[in-house]
Amino acid sequence: MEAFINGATCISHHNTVDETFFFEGCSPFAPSPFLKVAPFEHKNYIPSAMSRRASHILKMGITAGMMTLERAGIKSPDAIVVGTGMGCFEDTDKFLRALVDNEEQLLTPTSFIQSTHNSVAGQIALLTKCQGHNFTYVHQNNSFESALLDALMLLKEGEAQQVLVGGIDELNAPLQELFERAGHIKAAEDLKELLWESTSKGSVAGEGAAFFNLSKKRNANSLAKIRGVKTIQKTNSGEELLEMALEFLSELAIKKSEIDLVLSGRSGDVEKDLKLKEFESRLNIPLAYFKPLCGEYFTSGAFALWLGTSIIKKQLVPGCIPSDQTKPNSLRNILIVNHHSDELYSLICVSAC
Amino acid sequence: MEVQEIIKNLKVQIVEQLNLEEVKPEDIDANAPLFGDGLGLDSIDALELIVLLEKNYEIKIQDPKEAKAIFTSVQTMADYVASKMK
Repeated sequence: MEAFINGATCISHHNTVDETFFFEGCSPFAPSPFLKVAPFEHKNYIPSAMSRRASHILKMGITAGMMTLERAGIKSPDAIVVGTGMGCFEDTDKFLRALVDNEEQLLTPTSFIQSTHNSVAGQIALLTKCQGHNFTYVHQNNSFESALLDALMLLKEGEAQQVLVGGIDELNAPLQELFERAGHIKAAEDLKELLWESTSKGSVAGEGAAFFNLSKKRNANSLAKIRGVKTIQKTNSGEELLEMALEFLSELAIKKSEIDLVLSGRSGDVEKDLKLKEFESRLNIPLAYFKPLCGEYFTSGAFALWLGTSIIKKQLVPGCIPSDQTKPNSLRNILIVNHHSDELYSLICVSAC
Repeated sequence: MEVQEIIKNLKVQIVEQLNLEEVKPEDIDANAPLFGDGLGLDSIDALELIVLLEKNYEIKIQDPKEAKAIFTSVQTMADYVASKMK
């Protein structure tokens, strides 16, 4: 199952919406334990009547989705598939609080309508008049990867020629409070360490939206080619993860020696990254870490795919993530390895086209 | 409460409840239509306005025909609220 990425957009903590920007001058240190997305312009993509009811995640998702279609030169895709770990959490929180505060009376419709997990895919379908396959996968750290699998299968089966696929999650006050109470967030003093060298527990929370227009046909807009994706429910060790990764590459007919770079989803949690570190130590392939750029969130795999695609297109690894072993013009095959809290691992392979 | 005071309060409550991002309460013409032209509200907003009246003024609107007349403008809403408060 392969597909060409003919358009991509990423809204993240950095100004990644701008295609000319590639982390110039960015620090590898997290400025805060919560990495919110950089301001982005949504007025060209969201009608004002829709915008006033749209929460942060809807604005991110619709903008990234519509911008991706624009970049790919597609007015209406055949299918829209979205992955989100937490969905429209802010509106869900608002709706549930109103439910309790008003003793189940006087509930307004807007929060309810927008609290549904599939609002982003639905609103993009309304804007593009896409009446085709419309699915939203909510499966924690494998949400985006599940959406990607669906998109690849639609293309393989010939049920769609153009598929818009994306991963999206938001960070907001109620979530930040929950993450802190659950011990998922690093203390401020621990941010002095580089995330990938961290000796403390917890991570840096993030948010973002990354969308891709996939097709079986290569065209002038093609950025890279997705070779395959694999979701892993559980791994007992880094060694086992390596075996699964090698099997995955073998299925794709790619030799380990052909992988030029591994984008690793180290979260910075000294305990939860143990298996991933063991995996990395056995690889002997240049490594770079993407979570210092985007933070930890359930659909960070979508950011990683956008980053891998951009690295291939630009033949450049951003200076703020370590990969001094790679040489320009040799970045043809990238393997993305991700996990969240040592659960639900995933593998994505992306290649030059 | 005087009708003018109700109008002032309603304008603030409408902007807040409907998230009218680019509208200031003082910019709303009390006699301009709420739906179609004027503020350009839609059917979801109509439901929000029903909740607004119930929440802030304890007024329940159950007859859809009645609602159409009440929600013609901020002025008609205020007149209705004033009549119920007497």
